[in-house]
Amino acid sequence: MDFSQQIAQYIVTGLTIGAIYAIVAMGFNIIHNATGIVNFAQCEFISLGGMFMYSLVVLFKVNLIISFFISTAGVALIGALIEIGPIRHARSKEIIVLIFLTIGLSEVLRGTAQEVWGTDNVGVPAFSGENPIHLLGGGTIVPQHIWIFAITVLVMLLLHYFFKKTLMGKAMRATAVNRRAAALAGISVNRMTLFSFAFSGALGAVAGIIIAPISTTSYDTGIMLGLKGFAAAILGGYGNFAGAILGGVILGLLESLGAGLVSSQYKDAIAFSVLLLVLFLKPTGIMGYGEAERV
Amino acid sequence: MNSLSKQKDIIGFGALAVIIIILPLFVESKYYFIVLNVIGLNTIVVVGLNLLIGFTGQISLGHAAFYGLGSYFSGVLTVNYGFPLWPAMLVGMLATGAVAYLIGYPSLKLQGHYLVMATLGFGIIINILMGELEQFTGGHDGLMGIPPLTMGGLAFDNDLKNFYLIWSFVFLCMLAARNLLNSRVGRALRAISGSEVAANSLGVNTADYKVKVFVLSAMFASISGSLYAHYITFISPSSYDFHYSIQVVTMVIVGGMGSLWGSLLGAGVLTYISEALHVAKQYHVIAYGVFLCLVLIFLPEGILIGIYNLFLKAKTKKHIMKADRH
Amino acid sequence: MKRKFLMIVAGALAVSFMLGSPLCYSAESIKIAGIFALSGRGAHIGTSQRDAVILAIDDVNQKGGINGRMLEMVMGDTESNPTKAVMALKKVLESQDVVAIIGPTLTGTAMAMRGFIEKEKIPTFMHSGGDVILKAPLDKKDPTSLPKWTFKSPYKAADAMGKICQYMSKHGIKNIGFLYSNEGFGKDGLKNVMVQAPKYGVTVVAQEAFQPKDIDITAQLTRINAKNVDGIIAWTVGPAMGIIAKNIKQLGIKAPLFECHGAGDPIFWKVAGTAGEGVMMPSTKIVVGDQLPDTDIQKKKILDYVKAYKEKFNHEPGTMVAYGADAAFIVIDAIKKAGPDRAKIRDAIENTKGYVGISGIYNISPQDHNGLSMKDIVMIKATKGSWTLLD
Repeated sequence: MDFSQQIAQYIVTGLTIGAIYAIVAMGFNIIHNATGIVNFAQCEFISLGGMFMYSLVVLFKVNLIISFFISTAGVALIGALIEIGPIRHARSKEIIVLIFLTIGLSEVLRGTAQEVWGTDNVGVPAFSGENPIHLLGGGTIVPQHIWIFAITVLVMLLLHYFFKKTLMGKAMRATAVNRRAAALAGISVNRMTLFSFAFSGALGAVAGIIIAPISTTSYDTGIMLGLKGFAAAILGGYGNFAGAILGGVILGLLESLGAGLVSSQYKDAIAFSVLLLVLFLKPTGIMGYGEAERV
Repeated sequence: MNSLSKQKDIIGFGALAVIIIILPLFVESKYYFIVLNVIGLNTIVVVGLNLLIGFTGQISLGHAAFYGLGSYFSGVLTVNYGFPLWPAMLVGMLATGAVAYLIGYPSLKLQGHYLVMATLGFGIIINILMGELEQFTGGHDGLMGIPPLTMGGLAFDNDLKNFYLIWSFVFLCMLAARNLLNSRVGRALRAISGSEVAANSLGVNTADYKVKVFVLSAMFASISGSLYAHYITFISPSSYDFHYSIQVVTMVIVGGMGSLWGSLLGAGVLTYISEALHVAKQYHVIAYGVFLCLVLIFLPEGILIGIYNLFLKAKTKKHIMKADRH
Repeated sequence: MKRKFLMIVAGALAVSFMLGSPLCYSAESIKIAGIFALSGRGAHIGTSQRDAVILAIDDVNQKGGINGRMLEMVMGDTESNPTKAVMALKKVLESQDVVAIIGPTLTGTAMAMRGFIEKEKIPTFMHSGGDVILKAPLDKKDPTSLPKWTFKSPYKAADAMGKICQYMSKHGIKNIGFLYSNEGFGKDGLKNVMVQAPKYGVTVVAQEAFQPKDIDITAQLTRINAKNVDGIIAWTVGPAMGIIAKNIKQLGIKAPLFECHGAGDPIFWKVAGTAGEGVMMPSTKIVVGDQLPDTDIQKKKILDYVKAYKEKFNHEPGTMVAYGADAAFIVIDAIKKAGPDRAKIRDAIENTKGYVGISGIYNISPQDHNGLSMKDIVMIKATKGSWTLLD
């Protein structure tokens, strides 16, 4: 394997990981735009997506496509329930209190998942086989990688269409810009917040489902992915959708190129150092603008 | 600061001193001592962190790194280089302060979630270094054989002696925090917490104060880390990952942001609860999460002020009811 | 409503206070403590070891206990955290009559507990993998100050590594790549391979690390593959065992893959799927019990245990279970011989000779608090959802 082929492999790998980070980052962004908080339960959405998929496909032998939609809808429902219950009824709307409320909720969800599924990692079958595909520029992938890219792009397009073209999407964007003005214009802010949690749940689930055939899944698989997704969202500019994609891809590439070319021991340290450096130079992330609000 | 709250503080610190001195008479179990000691160690970190969060409104999710730096400076200097114990702790504290200054200076210009991520990332990098710089830190196997602290001929080598040592530091740190808050600087800090723009326009250099408080809170964490290393005598990177950072910020919020006594209560209640909930067997993670959610939903001002407010409300209700009857 | 909530919280606190304090047990039973990683990152290993120990204790109790006295386990959870592990240790020691400890699971927690165990003078049989537990002196200045009260049941990682290298040299594998998880267990493996490989004429030409929770390891494998290795060793337990196998298939790497002595476990198939086919690893005999020759003195014991385990827990036991079970069996045996006395139990454990366990034949001595040797390790190959005994 010559050097250019190696580089090609690192880039393909980085893009795959980056795509997953981007979807997770999107989930963080949607809730942030609606409420201003960081939803740490996003991590659990990822794990739950993977575990639902495992239960349906492996344990109950349900058709793959049906399982995909049931799992996504299931986690979206959990996201909605989180909003209807604890988040809406929290006596304080202070952002920091709500952030730590999502950490508490995370613990509850993770503890419950551990009881339901146990602690072992489990595999989910690939969507269409595992025969390697050799790319033209060098580098090899499995069909699941194509699924990851395709689904990520599809999700991004759908989100774009939703937020730019549909009435509800526009209402959600209006709420993000100014809650009070949106409420005055007759938009139900509560409903928008509810939808944002459901959307984030669905996005987290999708990320968990499409990566599961490659990485396997477990009750706590989402912690690390969630953390990296958050980092990607911040890197791109928190709340910015194009930023999420950019942040995810950059972070993914940094990791795989860092591991491949510099040092696999320090790959996470390299990625986070670059993140810090970017923030010190551009305090609102690559594509962020204006003053971010205070916590 | 009026004389009434001054009086309250004197009563508070007096009571704390008395409790620290006589508590061991009533506690026999070594287990409860280690719980109390861990509460004490967490309290020191939380008091420092609360200065930052409560009075400047800035969140750090990187304090596990400062706690760890204290531990590792004490451990590495005494074990590998034969440093005397107390000077090693002092060096650790100063060095941690210097690191905090270097990272705090650019970081604290960041706002909101960007600061959260920056401190989180910093914490993760330091945690990775603890594992990788093996020739100094002992790597992932950890650093063992850290000697207990000594004073005169007395070695703090059991749970009881460490109880007195750790809680003396808790007392001193809380006293220092209280005096800081009542000083001119403290008033400036509270101004930042109120409104940064207003404070700036009044001529308070907010950026400067924020960095100073950040450095101070890092030094508190470092002291606690040193005490931990000399108490448990073994340290390894897994004690200083981001879970610990999240845990101490949770304690600040549960205790009450900006409340000195709330810090003590937050550290105490959460440390104890996470131990006590082991009676729920495998459900202890869920139980802890539920407890945390309930507190944050119903008592968002923190346990101390939350309960106090409820108490007040109940009292006024009674008064109103009485008045109605008359 | 708020008041009601406060009352609930206060009530819960009071109850937890009462329950949290040491409980009283019947005077009859003999108490041993089991400390495992039941939550946190080591939970997937800790829970199966807990099951193994429960099974061993139930077995003794069903047969009438020890001299008519039942065995009782006081359980502790390290939460996979060193500080919590020390707290769990002090908690179980609250009941003065705990005569021995089994556990903990992770090397990091074991290292944190070790000093306190030596101070408390309580015999402890650990099932953590790292050799450092027994090798590292308690006092850095005195290299002979090795732990007296601490034992461990998994065979030495150095021996497992030696076994792989021996197999490699026998089959003409000369240049290898070493891939390890970047935490205690993996780093320990790295140190071992650097010592063991040269002994068998094997050269480590590439070494790469990955994080235990990584979702893709192709970058590291690409780098190893570029060095034209004829064998790869992956040192990790957990999801990466499967990810590596899959990534190797994806990249079309032809060099055979060897994994560590924790991989011989049903979990392996869950995480690797069909990509696990052909992976080789050192293992205890528990996973290939029925393939052993009838002359093997461990065979009957292993088959009996596997049967009992399957009846109780309804799934196949793995190599991790064997470590938990042996720790329990040897401690129980020592209690039978010495009676419920900590110091005597310690001596009895240290004098365990020729004990036929599930992981191997234990010959424990003051110099060797593990007692297994390379002879107890077999090489196995992952075949069709199960295992084949090699050579």
